[in-house]
Amino acid sequence: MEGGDWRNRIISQLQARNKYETAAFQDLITFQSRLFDNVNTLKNENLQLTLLNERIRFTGTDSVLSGTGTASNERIQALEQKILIQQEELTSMHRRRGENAQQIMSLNEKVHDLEKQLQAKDIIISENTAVIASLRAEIQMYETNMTELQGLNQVLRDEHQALQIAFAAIEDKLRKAQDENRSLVERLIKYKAKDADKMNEENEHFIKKKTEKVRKELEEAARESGSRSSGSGSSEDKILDSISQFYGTLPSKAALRFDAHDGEVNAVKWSPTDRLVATGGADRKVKLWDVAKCVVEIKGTLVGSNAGVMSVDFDSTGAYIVGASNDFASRVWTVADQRLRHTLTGHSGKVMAAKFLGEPTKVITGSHDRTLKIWDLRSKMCTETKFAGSSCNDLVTSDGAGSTIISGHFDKRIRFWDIRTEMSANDIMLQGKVTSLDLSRDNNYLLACVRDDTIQLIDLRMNTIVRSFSHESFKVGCDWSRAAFGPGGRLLSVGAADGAAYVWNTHSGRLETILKDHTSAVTAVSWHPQSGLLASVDRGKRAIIWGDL
Amino acid sequence: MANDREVLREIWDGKLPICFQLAQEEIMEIQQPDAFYVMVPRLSYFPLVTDKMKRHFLRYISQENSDSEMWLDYNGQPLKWHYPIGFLYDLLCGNDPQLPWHLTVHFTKFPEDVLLHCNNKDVVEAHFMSTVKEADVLKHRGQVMSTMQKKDHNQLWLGLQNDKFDQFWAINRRLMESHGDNEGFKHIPIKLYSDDGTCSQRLVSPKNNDGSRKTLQQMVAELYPDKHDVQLRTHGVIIPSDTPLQWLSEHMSYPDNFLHLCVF
Repeated sequence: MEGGDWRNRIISQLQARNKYETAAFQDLITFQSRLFDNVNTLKNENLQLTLLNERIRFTGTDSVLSGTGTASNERIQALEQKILIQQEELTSMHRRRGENAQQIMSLNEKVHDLEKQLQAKDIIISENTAVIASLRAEIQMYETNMTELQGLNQVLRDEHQALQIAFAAIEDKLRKAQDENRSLVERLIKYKAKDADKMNEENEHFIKKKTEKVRKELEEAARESGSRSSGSGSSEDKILDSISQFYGTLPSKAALRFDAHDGEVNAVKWSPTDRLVATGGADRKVKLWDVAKCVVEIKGTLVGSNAGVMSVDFDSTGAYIVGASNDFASRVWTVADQRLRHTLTGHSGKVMAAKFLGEPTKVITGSHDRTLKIWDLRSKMCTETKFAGSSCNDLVTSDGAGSTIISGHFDKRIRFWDIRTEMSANDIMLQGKVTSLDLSRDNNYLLACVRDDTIQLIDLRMNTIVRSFSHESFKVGCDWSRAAFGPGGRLLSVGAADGAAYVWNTHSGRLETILKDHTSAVTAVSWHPQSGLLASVDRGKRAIIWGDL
Repeated sequence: MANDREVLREIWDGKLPICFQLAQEEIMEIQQPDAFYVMVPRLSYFPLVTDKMKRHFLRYISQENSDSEMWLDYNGQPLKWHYPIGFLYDLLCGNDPQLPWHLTVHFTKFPEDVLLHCNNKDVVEAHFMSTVKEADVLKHRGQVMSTMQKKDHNQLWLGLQNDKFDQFWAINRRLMESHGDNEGFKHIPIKLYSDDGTCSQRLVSPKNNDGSRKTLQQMVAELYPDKHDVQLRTHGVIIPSDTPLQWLSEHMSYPDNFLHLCVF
């Protein structure tokens, strides 16, 4: 408890304050408020009492009046008045009743209307329920249908899957079979080549014996006498005969002549299996000619190109044929049914050469747009593009696997490509534009026809030119003149501008023969791989098959 | 500690007689209404004590104004309901005490720019509680109020509303305790009003810089350095100038925990 003077002063002031402000008025105000309340309650009481008084007075006068006679009159009057009031009330009641009746009638009418509406609505509802029921039934039906269809669909899907699996398996088998087939064909070819070699060996043997024999005869004859020198001439003739026999495969006469195309014939190729020759011409067609029966018989016309065909090539089984066209595309047909299988578009220039790349599902094309493209026929797309830098006139693929490609170009170069690398592996520079390339069967020699009117023989093992063939009258006819090795690689042939086909001996470099029958420049030649038949085509529409059928 | 029960009790018991009269232009009856006399606690607020008076006067005003808010004036000055009644009396009639206090009751032309609206007693409660909180923030950084429970807050308010001294002070004494090691509050919640009604509120510490207790005189010298003989009145008394501020705040604060001092 603190304190001091200030506290005492505050306390006394407060006490004074309360005394002055509160204590002085407290009782007064309480008394006043009590009086105030009293006044209010008395006022209310007063009011109630006045009301009561009024009521009592009213009933009091009534009771006072009934006592006297005059009062009865007044009473009758009062009663009459009452009756009057009652009558008035009655009439007003009647009036009200009439009004009510009218109201009831109108209400009845309304009820009637509403009932009608209700009936109509009922009918509509029943109709709608019927419709709903039918719709429900329909829905049910459709649902069952749907479930059935779904089941069916499931079954079909399962079947489809099973078939797909079976299909995949069969396709696999097919592929294996094709591979086997290819290997078998390769083996067959190898055996055939061996046979041919053996035959050649035997022939040589035979000829050797014969020449020996002739020589012996000549020696004998020489020994006999000089007077019979005139006989020696005949014996020389015999030698020549025997030599010509030795070159039995050398074609000497035209076996068949026919008009192959309307216009220029650009390409010719023998089928590797049949006696079937394919030609491609400026009339946008590739034609297949069957010469097996000593007469020429058209076996089919492969259409689809939109411009002249520049090159044709069979695959190793002879089942497919690829044609390169000036319309920037290459096309693959099947030989058996002559249907167009693939159209390979993507080059931006004429396609000059198209070859199968080892297997029948790969194609390589060389184009005027200075690129080479490799196509996969299974996926139908270009798998690789090689930028050669110069327009490609011809190309060859070196081996069965097709891993090396050799292309001849407008810029006088022969380029070597490895399929696995992007860039050119090697190249050889020649004296003129390379118009065509051909590879010997043993893949050791490359034949290049050059625009400087020479044929170059290149040894691929050393990448050098081993021999050059030329003749004073031999002129290369066009930029895509095709030269070709004969069967066994002993002969080579090429068409010239003067309409002749020149045949050289590969080993000796001797010009064996000039087959002249065409009237215009010979564009392409092709040797039949087994029989030694030579096919040549010219810038007119003519094709000629040389040799003995 | 507010332990001087005598002072507290005297302050609490202070009441004022008030005479309410209805404004002349609002009387709609032929009969003049009687003036309404009532004793009101100085520490209370007008909205808490005018229910009966309002009922009385409602009979004499036009029916369309019966829902509109009631307000009071003294000599044409509207009375702010959010100040304690005793403080309003000190401010308006402190120099010229006239008892009973004559106030005029209005039901129309509410002075929107002067008064706050007060639709019911919840508004008064909200205002009261927020003022107590403000004072607590000044005194204890708000620690006491925030540790109190809702029922304590209710008890504080009901004690004031029902004029119950013990009920109120049971809670209020906790607000008047000083916390921490140093005796006294952080700051004194104080509002100073000049006689033209303008209010100023300053941060006032209960101690001088040297740690001694600050007296009222010292505070006045700090706040009004250019004025002399300044006197301060609250609860109807003039406070001696040597009263310590801490004691003053503990004992002479209004229930909202503020010291409302009139300067003259």
